[in-house]
Amino acid sequence: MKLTLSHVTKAFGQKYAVEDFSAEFERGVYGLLGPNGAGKTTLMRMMVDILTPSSGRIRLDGVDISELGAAYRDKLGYMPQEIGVYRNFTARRFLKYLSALKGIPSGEADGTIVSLLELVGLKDVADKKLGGFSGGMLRRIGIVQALLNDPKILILDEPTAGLDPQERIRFRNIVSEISGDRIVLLSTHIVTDVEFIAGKVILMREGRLLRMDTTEDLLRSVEGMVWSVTVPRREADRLKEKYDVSNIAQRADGLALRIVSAEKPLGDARPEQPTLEDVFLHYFGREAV
Amino acid sequence: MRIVKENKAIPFQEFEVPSVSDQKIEAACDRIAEYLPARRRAGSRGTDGLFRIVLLEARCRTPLYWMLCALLLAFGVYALRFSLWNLSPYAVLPLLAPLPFLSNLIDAFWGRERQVAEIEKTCKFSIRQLYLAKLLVGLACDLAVTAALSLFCVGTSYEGWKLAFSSLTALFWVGTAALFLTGGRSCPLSVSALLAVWVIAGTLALQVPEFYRFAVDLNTAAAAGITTVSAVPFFLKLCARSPKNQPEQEGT
Amino acid sequence: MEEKRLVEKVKRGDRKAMDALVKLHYRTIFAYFYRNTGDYHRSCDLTQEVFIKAVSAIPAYKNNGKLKAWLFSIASNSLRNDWRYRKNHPQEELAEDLLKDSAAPDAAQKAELKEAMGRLPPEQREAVVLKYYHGLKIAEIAKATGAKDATVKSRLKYGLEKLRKLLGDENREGE
Repeated sequence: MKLTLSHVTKAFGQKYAVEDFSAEFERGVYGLLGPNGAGKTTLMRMMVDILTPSSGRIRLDGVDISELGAAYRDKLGYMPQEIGVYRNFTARRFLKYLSALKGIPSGEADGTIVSLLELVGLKDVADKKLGGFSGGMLRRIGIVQALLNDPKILILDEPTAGLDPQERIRFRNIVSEISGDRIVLLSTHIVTDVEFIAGKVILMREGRLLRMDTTEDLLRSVEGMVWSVTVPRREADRLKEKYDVSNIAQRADGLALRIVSAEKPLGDARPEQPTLEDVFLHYFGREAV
Repeated sequence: MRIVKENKAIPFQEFEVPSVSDQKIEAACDRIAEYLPARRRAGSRGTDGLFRIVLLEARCRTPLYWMLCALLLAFGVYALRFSLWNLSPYAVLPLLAPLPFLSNLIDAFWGRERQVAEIEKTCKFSIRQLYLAKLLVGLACDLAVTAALSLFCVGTSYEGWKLAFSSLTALFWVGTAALFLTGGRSCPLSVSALLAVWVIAGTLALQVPEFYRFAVDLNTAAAAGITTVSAVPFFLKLCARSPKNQPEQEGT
Repeated sequence: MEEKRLVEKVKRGDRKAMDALVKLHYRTIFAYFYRNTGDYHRSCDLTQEVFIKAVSAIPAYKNNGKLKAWLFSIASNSLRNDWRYRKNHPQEELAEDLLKDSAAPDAAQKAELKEAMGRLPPEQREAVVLKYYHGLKIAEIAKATGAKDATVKSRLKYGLEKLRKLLGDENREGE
């Protein structure tokens, strides 16, 4: 199964939300990384065929997704950035409703709902009204509904937004567990969400594809550009003005800075192994942090 | 120099096509098979999806909606058995006939969160099929109430058919207006406004003696003809909500 | 009758029946695309596209024994979309042509006819291919391509005239 985006562009008036975006997706987990306003949500909405590209095309196995229509949506699981629910419905009833919309036979849906609620740890609240669910619980309902039809293509838009660290870890583990034989694309501006689970990372800025590569190759691209140095506060302020700083930590003898720069910032700066956060800073600059 | 004759035969057979290996075709079959419909037994018609969604939508209606339909039915039966404000049921009941359909539109779309629509649009059944299912629930309820009231005319001095035709005419005209107003999107406010306008305008019209007499004295055949004509724009508008997913052209 | 039974089985998700149907028609559809595009890999991609669309839409297909005609109408539509896209993205076309020359298997054929066919306007070429290589009648071509009968006749007439002229000119040049 191959999902191909060819020169996909979306313009709203004079402004390009997505511009000339081309990429190919096969089985695996892809992280779509970019600052707020990069066009991630617009791109994903086009990929799930609820927004039409201004130009370019999106094809699954060579067939335009708008031509495939229901056949494409049958393979699709989508978790939007904001999870909307019918607040008076119980979790079970809401999921049964969506199962019917996804064409899942009633008997099959019951079993699937139970096992998916168990996967995300919501089995005990299946018959509680969604209006009483917390943000984290609603996000978990969001992932459950996206998985109801056992989709071959799973698109998750900022799935961990608003979650506390524990819930983010749980979410990452769920995604890893379910990724299997699918195309999974998840967008985020939080690097750690994808660092450990994405096979390939797509960097997106101002609607454009910056780079698409494996995590290893991206890290390699900033090798020799990451430094650590401990300096007094006044010096730290000067360095912050001049360089991209990915981390600042208070130490007994001053401030420990982690700097991303092609040149060595100070004589006593130590080279460090890059992380994906360093990559993010290198490509998106300090305004994105 | 050779002269080319106009009817010279073209050697089509010379355009040979390269062969495609069996392995290539089998590899293609593997990819094509991912689009096969779900397996089912011979003789089974498969899940009748739209019908199931209609039933599901019916179960999603609030108790308030069913109470309204029941109230309307009770009111209609009372109007048929006893005189209601000295007004003929032929005038009063058609006024109230579109209520189940309009109330259904309000009930189906009120408080509907936009974000749920995002999820609904990516489901196998299109958003238009879903909207159609919601509309069909209201239509079915309205027809059921109308049919029941027509049956209750038995044993009274009123003609069931005439009452049915008059009620259906009102339903079709107001329903058509509602379908124009909503245009495929959820607009509970505009439908509520339409409902209010209809009830007020209808009440005022019935106070005009000529209109009242017309409604009461209309013969059954004429009523049937008017109903038939009224049905055309309504069902055309309903069919225009064909089950074809329409992605947005503009973003939000 | 056999084909109708196969289609019923495919509607119920029978993989073996689907394989049989694809194998029955793959080379015919491939030949249609090859004669229209002259490109082996593009023809393979387009052929796969046709069968994906057909299998996806098979639940709604009225099994009236006209499967081949239905496949041709899907194929014609795919070809049209492909032309339109390539017209708007000529740089992609160039890149793929380079690929084609290096990777396509040899087809032993007379170059003149292929070249002459390639120089026909796409709609005329398509009509000629459907009539003279796939034996479709005017009405069937009209249905498959979404054109009127008169338009198809006109395309065939002008297509053949142009082919004769091109082949006649080429023969003259060879002397």
